[in-house]
Amino acid sequence: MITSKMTLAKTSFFLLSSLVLMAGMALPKTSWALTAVEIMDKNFIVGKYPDSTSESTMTLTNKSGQQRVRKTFGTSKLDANGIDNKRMTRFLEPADVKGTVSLLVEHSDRDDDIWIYLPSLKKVRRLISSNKKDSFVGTDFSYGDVIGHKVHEWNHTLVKEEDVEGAACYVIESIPKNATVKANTGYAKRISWIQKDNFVTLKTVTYDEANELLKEATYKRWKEVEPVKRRWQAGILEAKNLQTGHRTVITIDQSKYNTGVKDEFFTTRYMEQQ
Amino acid sequence: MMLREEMPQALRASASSNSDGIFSTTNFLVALLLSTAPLMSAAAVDNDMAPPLSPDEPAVTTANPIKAQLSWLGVTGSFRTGYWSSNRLYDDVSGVGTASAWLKLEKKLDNGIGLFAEGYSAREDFRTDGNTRANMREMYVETRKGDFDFRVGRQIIAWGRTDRLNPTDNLTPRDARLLATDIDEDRFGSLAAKASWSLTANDSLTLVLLPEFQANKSYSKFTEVIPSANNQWAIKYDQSGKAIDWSVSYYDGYDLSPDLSASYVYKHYRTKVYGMDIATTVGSNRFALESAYTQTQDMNGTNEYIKNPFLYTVFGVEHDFGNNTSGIVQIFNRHVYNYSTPDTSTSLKLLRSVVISQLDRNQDGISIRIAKKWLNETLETELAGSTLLERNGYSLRPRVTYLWSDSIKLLAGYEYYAGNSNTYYGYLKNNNTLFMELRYFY
Repeated sequence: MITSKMTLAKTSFFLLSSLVLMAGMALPKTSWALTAVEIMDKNFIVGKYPDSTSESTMTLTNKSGQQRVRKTFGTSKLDANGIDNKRMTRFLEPADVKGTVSLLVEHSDRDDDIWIYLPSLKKVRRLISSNKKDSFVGTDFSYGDVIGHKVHEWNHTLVKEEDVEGAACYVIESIPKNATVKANTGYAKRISWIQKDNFVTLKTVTYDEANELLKEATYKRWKEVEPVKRRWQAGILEAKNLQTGHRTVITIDQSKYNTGVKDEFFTTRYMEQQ
Repeated sequence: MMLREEMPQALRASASSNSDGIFSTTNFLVALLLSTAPLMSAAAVDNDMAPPLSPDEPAVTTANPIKAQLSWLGVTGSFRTGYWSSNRLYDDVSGVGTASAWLKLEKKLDNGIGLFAEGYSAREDFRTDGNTRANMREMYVETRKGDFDFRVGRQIIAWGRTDRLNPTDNLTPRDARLLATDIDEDRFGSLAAKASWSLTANDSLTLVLLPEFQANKSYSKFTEVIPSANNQWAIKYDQSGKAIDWSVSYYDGYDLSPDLSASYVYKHYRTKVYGMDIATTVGSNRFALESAYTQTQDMNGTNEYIKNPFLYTVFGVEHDFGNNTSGIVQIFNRHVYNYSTPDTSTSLKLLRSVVISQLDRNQDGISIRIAKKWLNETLETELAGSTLLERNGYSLRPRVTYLWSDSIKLLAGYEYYAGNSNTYYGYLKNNNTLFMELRYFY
């Protein structure tokens, strides 16, 4: 009796092992190997290239179709730690904001530093940076969206896999780990569609602090800007606020990557110059 | 320098004429600009900070050819028209219509030399022949050679890290008569040569030479004597870009705000100002401290017609409430050394002490500013105000700005002062005004 039970157990174990093994062979290797956190880690790092210079156009459209257009010149440079960026943005148009320059220095271990030069003020001013939920210069992207949300501050779950415009994607649901992250980012939930083969984000949907659907963003015209390390940058970024109907399209008109951007760009000295 | 809504600076310049007579300076600067440009071109300045973008990428184009030309030339500006229920001339005039044209030129030449000019021509009160103001606020050339930056010409130099109340901001003046809806648009430049040496990416040493003296301007019935100064200078060591921004500075030159003499003539005296400022952020708060000790020509406090030495300190905390809402609270103190109770037996003698902020040994006050942006930053609302703790009186300045489109902006607000005659607020009651303005940007 005991022997037959052991035999049954061995047989069951063998069958179960076989099923698991077969199931593993049937699934794509990556999905089997990667957790949601690992996917988000790769997604976070895929946009971390050494440096860039670019000219961009931001088109802001309100619910009634009225448009505002802002043109910017920007540079970025990755810190030696491979995580934190410095970002400088100079507004070229329209006349109302021309000459405004912002400098953002990211710190993965503490609050970022932000300075702004306003032509009317004639001097550089340090800004409070802990709040990542406010609009990035009036667009439908928040500062957190632009900088990138820190992976370790969220709980991530791989909820499904589905295609976005023919590209196979992981669909990751991210929930803030605590109330502070929720309050600082303004999001109770983010859902990201991450392309499987290169880990770039094709689409995100976000929910406000009351868990109401807030925004939908899409990222298109991806360009591999650093083939060795497989780093990518989107050429068209679009966000729509589903509660207000306001929409923002950011188009990168010209760009160069990994040209050895000098550190002088990221100083208050540069901000005060024309 | 004090806030308009807090209190105007010491009663400044009589400058009662309606034109500023600055175009002789402007002509000089044009000549200077033209004469120095070839020299600076030969200096082979560093101009390689911005790697050129790839030529095979699509170029940024502007559909409107006129706009494209103006953009290439770096020309921008605005036409403005507005209504003010009162002017800023301390009189009983009401219902003032305004129109002005503002022009700005910013051009970076291929050799790295930057040209900048900004000015306006404004008509205030259509019912009278006067009140036409024209001012070339700035006109300078700038260039860079290695770790040095040079800027020569008429320029605004704004120092200080606290909000609008800046004890170290003593180099270039303001025109309190101008009906400007933005606080800082009343600034204008003085002829100056400025050199900044970047010791590191974050540390710099700046030297400023000011061969001419331009005083603060405000309407007054008294005569003003403007010194023909040629030996003013200032120096500042500044660190910014790290966790804490700070600077120490020194200014040796004439006081932008005059003293009222025994014969009721406004006179400007030499001062030496030792200043410092510091600012940092912690979480959702920004902290800033700024202080300056001013040595005057009456260090012992024995001459009632010249300011005593004083220490002016401002400490402020800004808090970010989220949802594009922020608030600033600042406390300020002005301590007068070798103080003795001034003679206030007549209204003019009282006025003398009030306008130089030396009626009391200590003048303490609070200023606030709350601002919120709405509708993707197209609508901005702001409430600013201040009060003195020792005297009755306060000011309030609510303001609304709406960006109708990239070309059209609407502004409206109210400047309200209330207080006894022994405070600036009381003195300014005649300037209480509702204002509204329409701007067209080109």
